[in-house]
Amino acid sequence: MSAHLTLGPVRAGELVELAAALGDGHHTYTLRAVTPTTLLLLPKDALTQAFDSYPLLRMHLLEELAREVSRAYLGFSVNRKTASGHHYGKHI
Amino acid sequence: MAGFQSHHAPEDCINCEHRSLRMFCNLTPEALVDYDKIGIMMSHARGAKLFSEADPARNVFVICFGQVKISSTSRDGKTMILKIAGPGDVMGLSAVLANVSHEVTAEAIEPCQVKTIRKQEFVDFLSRHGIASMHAAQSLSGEYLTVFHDAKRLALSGSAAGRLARLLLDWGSAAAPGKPEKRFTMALTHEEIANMAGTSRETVTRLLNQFRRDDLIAIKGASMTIVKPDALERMTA
Repeated sequence: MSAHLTLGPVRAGELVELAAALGDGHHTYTLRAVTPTTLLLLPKDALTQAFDSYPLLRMHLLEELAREVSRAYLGFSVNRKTASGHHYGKHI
Repeated sequence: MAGFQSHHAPEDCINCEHRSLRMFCNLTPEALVDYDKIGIMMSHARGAKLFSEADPARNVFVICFGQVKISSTSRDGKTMILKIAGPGDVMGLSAVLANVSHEVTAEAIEPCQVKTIRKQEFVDFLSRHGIASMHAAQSLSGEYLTVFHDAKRLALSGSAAGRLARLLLDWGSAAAPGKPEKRFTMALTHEEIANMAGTSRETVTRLLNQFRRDDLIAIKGASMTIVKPDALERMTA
């Protein structure tokens, strides 16, 4: 049986998968539109080049990445509570 | 974790013989000279807390030597160990850069030496050196993957056996990347392993005995070898 864990919604203005793009390049989760959505795609190479060339942008990206990690910690603690309630194998 | 090799404590960053093996501190000569000037080296005894969950994040910590337990406590007081950080790992980075309180607690599980760098000093250093920023980004990405991996292990594996099997496989892979034999040193107690696998100490003891009886693993003192990784892998499905 395939199990599925819903991590939460992403809203306008948020950057997603920055960690994957600046890390090993592999996506960590599946992103699925639940409403009609417009996205700006930043190719990995352009992102890396911008990271190298613009110190101010670099610091902003690092801060955004840090916030993404913080949100992941928050999501982890919420899901942990659900997991300890033995709701495995369901949409959480 | 399990698997980290202990080394002699380096005296400074420039002469550190382990630097090339470590992701964050493996800097260009120019950045390294600058990096050596910031922060202070601090020694911590086993059991010392470097920072606690919800503390204001004022410093970034880079482990030079030793191992540190990273944990989080739920509202009902249950502790979950997220990872065991080792030499070269950077702690407190996400909280410092996101300008939030520490999300986790860091506690030395053996005597360790940690380079402690004040928040602003570290941010200024990153803004001066692109290579350091890239390494910080990779460190954050690694931290992010660890959190996701933990969440998946706890939420998506339906059994305690599956979660424990996943943990052992991860440790085996980290200790011997790319090698067929997965052997590592188990530095954690059964209670601590239970805190990582989201189960009880009794269950960990029972399952490890079961795994050993079934020849899935071999335990000799503090050394553990994964004998049948495929069988453990099937448990995690």
